[in-house]
Amino acid sequence: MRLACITVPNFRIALERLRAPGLAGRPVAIGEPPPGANQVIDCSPEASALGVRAGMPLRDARTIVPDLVLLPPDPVYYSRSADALLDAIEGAEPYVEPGDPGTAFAAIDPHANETAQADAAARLVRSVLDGSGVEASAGVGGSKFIAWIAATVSAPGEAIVVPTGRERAFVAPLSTSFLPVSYEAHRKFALYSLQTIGDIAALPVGPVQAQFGSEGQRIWSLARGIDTWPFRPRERATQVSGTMQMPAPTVNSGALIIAARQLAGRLLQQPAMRYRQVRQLRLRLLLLDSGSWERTLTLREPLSDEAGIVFVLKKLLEPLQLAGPVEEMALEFLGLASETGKQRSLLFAEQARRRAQLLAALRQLKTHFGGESQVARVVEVEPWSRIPERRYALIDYDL
Amino acid sequence: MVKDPGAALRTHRLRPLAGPRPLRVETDAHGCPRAVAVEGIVREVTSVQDRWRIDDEWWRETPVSRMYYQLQLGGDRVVTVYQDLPGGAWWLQRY
Repeated sequence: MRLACITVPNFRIALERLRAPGLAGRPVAIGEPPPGANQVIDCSPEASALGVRAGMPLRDARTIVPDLVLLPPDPVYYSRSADALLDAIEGAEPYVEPGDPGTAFAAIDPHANETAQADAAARLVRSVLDGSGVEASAGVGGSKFIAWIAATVSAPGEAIVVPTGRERAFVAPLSTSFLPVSYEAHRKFALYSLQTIGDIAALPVGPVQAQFGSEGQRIWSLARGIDTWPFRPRERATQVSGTMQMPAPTVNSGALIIAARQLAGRLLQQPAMRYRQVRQLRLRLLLLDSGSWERTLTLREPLSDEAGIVFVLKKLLEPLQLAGPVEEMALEFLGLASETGKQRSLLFAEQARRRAQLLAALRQLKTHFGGESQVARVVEVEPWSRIPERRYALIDYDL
Repeated sequence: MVKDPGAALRTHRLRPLAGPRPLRVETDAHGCPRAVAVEGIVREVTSVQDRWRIDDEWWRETPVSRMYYQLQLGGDRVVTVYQDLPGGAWWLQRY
């Protein structure tokens, strides 16, 4: 298999510069002001060069770079642009897997020669430029890691093809900082003076595993240009979505809940929702003065009733503290599932309802803790035994 | 006859209740507990309220042979301890 990786470095910054070209060449950072996280989310290479880092408190970033241009995040704009980027790539090659925002992988013709592969990658870069307006770089390799690293080291607008069999030689001179492994592993690379990927590849697998634990095998394989992570093209899921303009910009959660109720009711009426339940929903709020807010929520169990969906939206909207008044609300139903019947009890309805709630809570706990039941019940084993520990035991409360 | 709880037992998921916990015990010349270390604090035994012996599971490879003591400690605290007779180790157990 041959994969192309298309990546836009500092994707969010590139998007901000796209709508404000005056920001080009200036130190720019995106950060969520209070009551948000109050830290840098992304920054331009100019800001990085001056010491600004993602995760840094905004106050520190401003102290280090007094003329830093600090922008509030616009998640809806970024997310729509990421979708546009994927659509643009999908227009050129049918099988596309989304990576981090601003990065995607596409399967290209495995029988094409090196020149044709470079042309295919260049075509993808052009598609991204035409479709979303940002300049990407591309890399082609036999696996996701090789394609990604080739795209990362190539210049904007260009593509690097790593021929089959040349993977190890290609990654060998590169810094170990390129390896997509844990922070702890990177700390150990510095500790052991492992500066290039080739330094790791030269070691036998045993000592690498001994020093890096469960991650050791993967580090060693990647250093030798071997990546076994599968390519999973995205599936086109049916979506039901709708938007609503607020009659007047508002920060009132009551008004937002009413709007959400109307929107949810309208979406549930759509023919696509017939015999379907909602598994996941995404709520987007466009704020006055170009800011935005977005959350994607996976529901505990699929819902198809308005009251249930409104309850979830209410929980989302009530505690919300927004940076500005909401102008527009958009709601999307994602991950639609087929309707399933629920057996309800005619008798003892209250007990049945309580038991169903309890079982749902237990099921949720079990899922949360990786399938291990967290609730136990006491069972009699040998209650007649003279040995105390033989009499009773705890057993998982099975569902 | 014990009432069937109605649930299938999966013995590998069973966690016994009232399992014994290791205990440090000082004994007198007759082998009777004189002081025990409960929760890291050494407490004097004020009186031995009861003692009994259990010999069970003699058909197994490691038969059970225990000498139980119900002890009153300082501060009116009552604990049940036993000595594993084959090994000699002391254990604290809720009886």
